[in-house]
Amino acid sequence: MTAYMVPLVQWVAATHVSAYLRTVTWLWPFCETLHFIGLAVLVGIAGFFDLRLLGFWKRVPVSACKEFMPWAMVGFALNLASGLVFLTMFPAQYAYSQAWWLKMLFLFIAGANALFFETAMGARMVALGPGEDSPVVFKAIGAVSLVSWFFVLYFGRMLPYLGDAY
Amino acid sequence: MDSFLAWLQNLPVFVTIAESASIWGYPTVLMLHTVGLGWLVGLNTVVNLRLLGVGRRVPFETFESLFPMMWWGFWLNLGTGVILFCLDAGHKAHQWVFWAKIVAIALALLTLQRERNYLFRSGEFPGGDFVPAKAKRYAWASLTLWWIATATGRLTAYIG
Repeated sequence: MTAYMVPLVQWVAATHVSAYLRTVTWLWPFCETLHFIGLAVLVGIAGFFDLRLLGFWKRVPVSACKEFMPWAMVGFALNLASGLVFLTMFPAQYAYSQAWWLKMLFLFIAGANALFFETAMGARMVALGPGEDSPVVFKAIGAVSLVSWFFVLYFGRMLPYLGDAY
Repeated sequence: MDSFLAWLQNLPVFVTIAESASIWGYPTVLMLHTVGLGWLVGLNTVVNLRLLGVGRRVPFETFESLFPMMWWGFWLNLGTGVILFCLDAGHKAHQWVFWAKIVAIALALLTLQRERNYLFRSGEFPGGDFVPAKAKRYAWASLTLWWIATATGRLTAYIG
């Protein structure tokens, strides 16, 4: 895996952008701060929605709880942007880290799961009456989402300890 | 004071955690501190976004049950936070950004309790579509204080 990455990593690290960003001393702590605020916004809103899918607040329509999701996307966008800065500055510490690839895997699962709900569950969401128990598929989607976001956070925070990123 | 901090930091339990090469030591405590942060600050964001006009179809009563859940996040972070402080007491106690974080959390918790009382216990809050300016002030104060707490917490790794 990592052998294929070498030319790409070397190319990114050698770009002017990467070299310039590494000279901006406040940028790293600044992006780390944004990354954690974005994390909270994303995980909190997604978690709230997942709990609804699991059967919490049954009288509240699922579609009403979903109205918070654009703000979860704002949190995600914040983390994508700050994450790309990290990756551009020091590509090697991520591309060669197993923990980082596991983080990407769980990010992919969380994304695919959300996309599946978005594209295939719309009719069932509207049909679900207030107070009715969540269908099993909703509970499964909620559980997969909670678990996969947990592991995104886990492998992200563990990057310095499961590998040598900082 | 410094001798107390040194004594604290040198207690065998904290030395063991600090020096352990195991992933279940310091890294796990730090990771759990991040889980608690995401849960507490994230759910707090949901409630305050509702006060600021997002998700109007979700009735306010729904959010009463989010407050105890936020406290789970807080207790997790108090526990892990005390451990993290003790591991590095001599350094942390002299970091201004650490004390800024503690002050921000104290103010944020005070705001959280007052906001909760106002929304669910005072009988003052109408709970319908109209959100009074007072509720919006609580929302902004709460969001801002938790963002400051998160930012200063993260910056303890970089400043001082």
